[in-house]
Amino acid sequence: MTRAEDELDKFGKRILAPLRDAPSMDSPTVAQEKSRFLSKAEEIRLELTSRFTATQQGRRWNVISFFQLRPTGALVKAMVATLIVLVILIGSSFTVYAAQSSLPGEPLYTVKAWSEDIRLSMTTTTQGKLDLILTYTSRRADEINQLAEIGKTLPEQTSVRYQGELDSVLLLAAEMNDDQMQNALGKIKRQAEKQGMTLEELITILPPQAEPAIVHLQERLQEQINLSTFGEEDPQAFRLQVRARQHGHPGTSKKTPESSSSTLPTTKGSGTLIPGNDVNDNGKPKTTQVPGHGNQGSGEGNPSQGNGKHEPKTTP
Amino acid sequence: MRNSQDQAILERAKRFEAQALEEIFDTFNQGIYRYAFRLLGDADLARDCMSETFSRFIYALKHDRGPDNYLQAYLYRIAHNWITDYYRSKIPPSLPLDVQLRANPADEPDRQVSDAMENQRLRAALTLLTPDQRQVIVLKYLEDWKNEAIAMSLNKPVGAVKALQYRALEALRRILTRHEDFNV
Repeated sequence: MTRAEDELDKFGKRILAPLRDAPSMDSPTVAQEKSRFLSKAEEIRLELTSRFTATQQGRRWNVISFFQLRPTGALVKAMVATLIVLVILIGSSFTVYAAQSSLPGEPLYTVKAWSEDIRLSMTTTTQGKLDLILTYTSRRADEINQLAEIGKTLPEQTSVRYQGELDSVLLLAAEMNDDQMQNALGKIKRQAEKQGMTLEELITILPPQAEPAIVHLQERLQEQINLSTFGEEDPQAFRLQVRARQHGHPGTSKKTPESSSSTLPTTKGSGTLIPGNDVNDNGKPKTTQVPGHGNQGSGEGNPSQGNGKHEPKTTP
Repeated sequence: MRNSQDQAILERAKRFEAQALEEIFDTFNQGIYRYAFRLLGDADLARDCMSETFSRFIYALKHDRGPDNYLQAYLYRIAHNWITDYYRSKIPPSLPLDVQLRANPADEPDRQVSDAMENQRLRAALTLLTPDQRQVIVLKYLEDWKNEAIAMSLNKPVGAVKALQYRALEALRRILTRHEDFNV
């Protein structure tokens, strides 16, 4: 501190000294002021508490007031429409979900079939469609199995659908390029073999009157195997064969014209006229022999409509 | 009151805990009152100033604008602002004879009057300082605050407080020199 500052400091102390002597408030006054201060503080505390409570209640009232809206005509209509849409959507979803476990002949089976068709129509790629239909054919085989277990006969509608699906996968495979087709036919064949085995086992436990329909499907699966094998060997001929089968539908020829040349594989057992095989690459009729079942005599043909709708075959 | 203690009690005060508010009042009410009295020279005004200081404090707490620490500096700043506002809006108060007479009853009446007039002139001189100058020298020479605490109260650096103090005393000396009654 400089001398000037020191002098100034002393001046400050001296000149302000008279003001240092200040009285204190007397106790009653202090008590009065303190009481006033604390009362004011309490008022504020209560105000803040009530404001907080009101805010909380306000939030609650906002929720309640939504449900206490006075319904006007437009509001009622909107609410009813929304409710109907919700019920339909939720109900439909549950129905479709529940229908997935239904069996042929049951009320919900139509919904199941409908949902499958919808899903298929929403699938855009050939490969995707093929995979999906292969899944459906597995479902059909399972359904047949379940029906047999509960002693019910196979409705014709299901049989037709099953065969239609078998036809569809062949057509889809025919639309693919050679590599894809090979892969697809491999899948088709493996699945047909698996399903054929399932049906084979089923025949042993079914009552005699139920056998023909299953045997017919088994033959159709065998045809599927043969056509797949044929396609693997000669993709181009397979395409022609399958397309001709789709359009031509050779009918129900029961005989295998042994005299005709055939590019399709033959196996032991009965021969079956492959639908559409009446036209070969040269525009000439073409037939093939596909393996039948062991219970079929050699050379016996099976009726085949080519569209997956087979006539029941009498069991020998 | 140390800063950590201030923080703890202010937390409770912000929740309007009566005990904390009572403790704050008990700690500071007399100091604020005397501070106001020294500057105002009037017991009623000093009481009003003290009362209003605590009132403003709790309203600040209500609106979440209260201090987080250094409570004493905060309260004295409120009181100082109240006094500044008072001097701005009013002419300096008239001579409060009764209070000054009670201050030292052993003295002769003429001496009491003389002292009272001198004190009042001194207060009037203080009102001619800027608010910051006035607060600095009052806190320093009447309240015996250290420069660090004054700096906290004024939200200024210690160096600025010292400079303010120097200018305030110079100004006060000039003002009082013009009054022949004062022994400067």
